[in-house]
Amino acid sequence: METIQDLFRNKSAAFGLMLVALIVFTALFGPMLAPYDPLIPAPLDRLQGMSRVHFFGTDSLGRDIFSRVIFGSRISLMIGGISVAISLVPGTLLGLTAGYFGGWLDSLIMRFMDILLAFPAILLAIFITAILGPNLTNTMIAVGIVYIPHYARIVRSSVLSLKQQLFVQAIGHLGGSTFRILGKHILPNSLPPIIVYATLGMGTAVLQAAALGFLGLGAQPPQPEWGAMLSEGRKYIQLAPHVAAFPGLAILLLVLGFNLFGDGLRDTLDPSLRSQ
Amino acid sequence: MPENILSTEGLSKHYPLKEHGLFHRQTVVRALEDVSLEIQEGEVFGLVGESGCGKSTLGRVLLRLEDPSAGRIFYRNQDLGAFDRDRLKAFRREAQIIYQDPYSALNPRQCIQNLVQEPLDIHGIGTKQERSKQVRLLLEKVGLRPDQATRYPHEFSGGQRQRIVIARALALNPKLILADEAVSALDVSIQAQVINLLKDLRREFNLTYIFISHDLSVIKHIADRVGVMYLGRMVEVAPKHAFYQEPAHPYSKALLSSAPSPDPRSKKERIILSGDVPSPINPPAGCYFHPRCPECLDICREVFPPLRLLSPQRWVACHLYQ
Amino acid sequence: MNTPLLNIQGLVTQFSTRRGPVTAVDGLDLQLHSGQTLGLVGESGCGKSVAALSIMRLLPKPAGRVAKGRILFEGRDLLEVSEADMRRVRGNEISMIFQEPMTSLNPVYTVGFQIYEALQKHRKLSRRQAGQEAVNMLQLVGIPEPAARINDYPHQMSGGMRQRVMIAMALSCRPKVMIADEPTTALDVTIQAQILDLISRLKQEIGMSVLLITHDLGVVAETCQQVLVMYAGRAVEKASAVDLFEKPAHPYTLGLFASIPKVEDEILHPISGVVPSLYDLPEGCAFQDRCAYRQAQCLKRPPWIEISPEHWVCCWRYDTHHA
Repeated sequence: METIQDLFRNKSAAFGLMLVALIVFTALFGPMLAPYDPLIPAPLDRLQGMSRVHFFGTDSLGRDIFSRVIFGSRISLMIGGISVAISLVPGTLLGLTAGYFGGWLDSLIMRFMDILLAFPAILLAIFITAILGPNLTNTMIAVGIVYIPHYARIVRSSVLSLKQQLFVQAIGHLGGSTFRILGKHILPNSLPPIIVYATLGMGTAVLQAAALGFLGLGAQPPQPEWGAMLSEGRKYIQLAPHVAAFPGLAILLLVLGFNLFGDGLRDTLDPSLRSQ
Repeated sequence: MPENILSTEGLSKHYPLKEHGLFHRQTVVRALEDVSLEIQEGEVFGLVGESGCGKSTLGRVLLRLEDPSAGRIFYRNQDLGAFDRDRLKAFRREAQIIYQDPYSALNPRQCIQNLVQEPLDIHGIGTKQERSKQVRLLLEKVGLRPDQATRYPHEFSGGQRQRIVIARALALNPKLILADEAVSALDVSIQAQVINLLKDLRREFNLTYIFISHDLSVIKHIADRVGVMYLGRMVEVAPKHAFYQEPAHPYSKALLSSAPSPDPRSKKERIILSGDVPSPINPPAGCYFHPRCPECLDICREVFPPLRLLSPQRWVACHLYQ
Repeated sequence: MNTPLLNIQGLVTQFSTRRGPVTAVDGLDLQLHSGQTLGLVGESGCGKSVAALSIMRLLPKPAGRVAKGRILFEGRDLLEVSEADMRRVRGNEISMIFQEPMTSLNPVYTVGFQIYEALQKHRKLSRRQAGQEAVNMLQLVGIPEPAARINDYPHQMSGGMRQRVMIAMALSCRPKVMIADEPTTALDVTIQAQILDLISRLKQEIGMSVLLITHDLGVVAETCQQVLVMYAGRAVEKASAVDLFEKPAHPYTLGLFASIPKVEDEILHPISGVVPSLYDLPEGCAFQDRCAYRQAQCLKRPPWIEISPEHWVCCWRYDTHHA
């Protein structure tokens, strides 16, 4: 409870949480909110500006941008959630294993992670999507894989310090199994930094997926993915800047929301940063 | 004659130091060197010495939390080193530890109920209801209220946390308890409460304590016999009364006279040792204590004196008595 | 009696925290006379270290502040002087040593350099003089082969040696007052004996006064002439060491003595309960909830009563007017 109170006392975190909540709300109730179908073209209404009929105007095929942005929130949240899960679960398991057992297993896992880290993230993601084929599912897999080493490293370092802690060793002294030590004591205590990183990671994942979408490697038309929409709008940037502006703004707000929220979460979950 | 619950023969523990270089010479820290002792069922064996003397290492090796480099340990006359997994787990049930810092010994994310219940979970004792009833009983035993079971460690003071650690140690009905500086971190008034609690529990459950402390007045209060360690070696073992009235080893004498007494009028003659404890990586030749010893003989510089029986139950490792 | 060297009057130190303001030191009066050793005794959280930091004006900012009171040092109120003047006082006139000598020394400089720096800053010595003086200081605090050890780094020394270096630094400018905050708590008994011996010897040689903060009554008995006992931020008893140890009066002091393990097989009589949280101290006497002599008046703040010459107790039990 104290954590949540602290979080609301932190103004930027509260603002971040509000943004995230707004986007989640839009994603949940999108179909009810959107005035038009996001996929059906209306060639007569191409590239219209902002108006009472089309709040955000229309794109090159005459689709309502407002509706497309609303539907896109679903896709973006899904990208964020799934790719974070794809990096978080194996990353945590690898980090736990490497940190707790140490030795050659640690070296093997962590050197492999180092290799993954050695590639620029976007290049690696492009490489993976190129192999798997350009579509939304593969984008999520690619972005997920790219961030596995980050989680593995974070988890490993907290495991390394936790396994030296007396309360962890005490379980061994009581005769507790490795499984119990890892599952009941080390994992719960190494979660806070991962939760924070995952929150921040949601924003990063959306950004990466948008970048892939922008390069044409992510979501394929006519899906209303924000990155792809941005890429599409780029062609008309001088003629109708709003086509690119609104999906861009949506990405900005989502990433901003998750980052502010994640920063606030870190401040409240990290006891060393807590004021007395 | 009570039986030995734990005994050792020539116990040593050396930690290798990593050394890189062309001439790869392995150096070791001699944390424990040739310790033989017997601990009887139901007694409180006090282990004193200054930091780095190996008393905590001895405690850890005795409970097989670490394996000795040499020597053997017998639990109820059976070789502890030969125990298989199941017997070791049974031994873990009977031998418990109370740690110096109760805060770091408790998982901050577990409530008291779960913390105290965990040993019962690990060893699969009783049904769910029985376990939680047992936890309530244990909390009452150590002077906490059962309704505090849902709280978390940070809501308690140091003394109360130590009571939680004690309750957890008692959960499995142990026979032997290693108390490693169990009251050192506590304030005097709280320390006295915990010492009294430990004494009561010992009587009630017929426990054997190995009580490690640097504080001679605490040891004096709780122990039946005292073992003094210096630089990894046992230098004196004696019944408490004999030890405090007439310490034999020069180091024991210095230790006792260094402890400040709460009486401003007693201007006792203090033996102030010169210098520091030597490094256990490179201990001096002969008796390890000779560079600081006020009664050093020529032989002390060359030969290490073995632990010898001085009078019944009194052992001392010093050339003055050979 | 002559005027005290250090005279603290009605010191109130507060900290602002998330849960509101907390009074860590509440109305402390303390007199340290020249050449004297005064022991400030109490358990953790009683405010003894905060009192010391208040004197040095080293309270953690901005949370801690002195709300009330005066700290007169040679007639000057240290709470009024400028920060620049205060810097001159620290080290030159009043110096302080702490419990953990490792964290108080900078690990990247040799111990010689650290003493040398203090000497140059405060005593304006030339390089050669300062170097020579640094060796002298190490010699003074009993470090063998000072000329060689001066080039050691803090991690190359043992805990006892580091505490000696800290004392050498604290003494390098010949202060009039040394505040020692648990100087031997982290050390082994044989080393503690060395350091206590050193402090009392240096006190004689240099002629300084010592304010010794400790929880250990044994240490107080061995080194102090005057004692002041604190509980929950307030002073509860002050007396000469002999009086305090022979005729302790305040129920808390009595409880402390009964808690020290001393005579064999005697049952300890600890104080029941725990120290109250500074956030919700009881109205009146802070010790009442744990006190065996509690009476109705304890709900009011107890007065200071002189039960014998220069032996003061803050407790209703000794209030003769009332009874």
